Amino acid sequence: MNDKRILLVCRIAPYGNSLARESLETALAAGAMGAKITLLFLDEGIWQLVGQHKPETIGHKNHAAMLSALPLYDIEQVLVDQDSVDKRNIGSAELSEIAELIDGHRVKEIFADHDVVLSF
Amino acid sequence: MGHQLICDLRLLTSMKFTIVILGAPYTDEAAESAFRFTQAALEKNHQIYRLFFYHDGVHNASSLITLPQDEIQPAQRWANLIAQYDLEAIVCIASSLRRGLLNETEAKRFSKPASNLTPGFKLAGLGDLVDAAQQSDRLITFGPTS
Repeated sequence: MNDKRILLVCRIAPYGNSLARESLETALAAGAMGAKITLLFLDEGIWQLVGQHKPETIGHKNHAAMLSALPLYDIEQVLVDQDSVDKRNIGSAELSEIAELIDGHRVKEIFADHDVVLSF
Repeated sequence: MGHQLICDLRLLTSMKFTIVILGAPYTDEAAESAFRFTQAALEKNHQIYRLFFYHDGVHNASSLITLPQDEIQPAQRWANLIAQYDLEAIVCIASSLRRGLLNETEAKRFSKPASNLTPGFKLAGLGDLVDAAQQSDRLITFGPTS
């Protein structure tokens, strides 16, 4: 196991496309393997963090259940882009507390700080 | 900055790539671009550490895709490249089962009437994607959204 830092970028809203779920499955697999991983929610991906989904009405499993598993898998950092949140007029109180809000400047730093980007 | 540039140029002489394919063939351009990038990298003597087919990208490995003869046969074209350069081509097993892409073992296990994984591709887990991210100089994702 080497020490490369992996940045996993989630830009997909949940339910409408299975890629949102599959990106989190990748994060959990990386965590389970002890990889150094940071998760960044960007653009439409921020909807994954907005609470009060009722996906059972459309026959889906709740995305939030997967999110809540993240700390159990030793994911180092879970971040969300403030600009993406603001553009969609989402209040920070509506977001899952699992993610830390970061500004655009910090987003750039995060990309620069990581060795590999897995983009979803 | 200058030092960084020199390091990057050295790496450019031969780099170890992993290619992640998220798009199905035919529907959009992602898989086509992934194929062309892979082929170009190999022709320039770069190394492909692994091809990883994930999400709708698993359809690239289907032997049942049937197109008119004058069109590109996606699975066969990948299989030819895989054989020519002895590449490792991993198809995510979880994504595959959900989309009806099975090898003989999985078809038997789930009592399905057929298998359709093209020879040359291998079903395996997400661990191989994480490993590839750690072992490669560059990981490039080709998806309908990227």
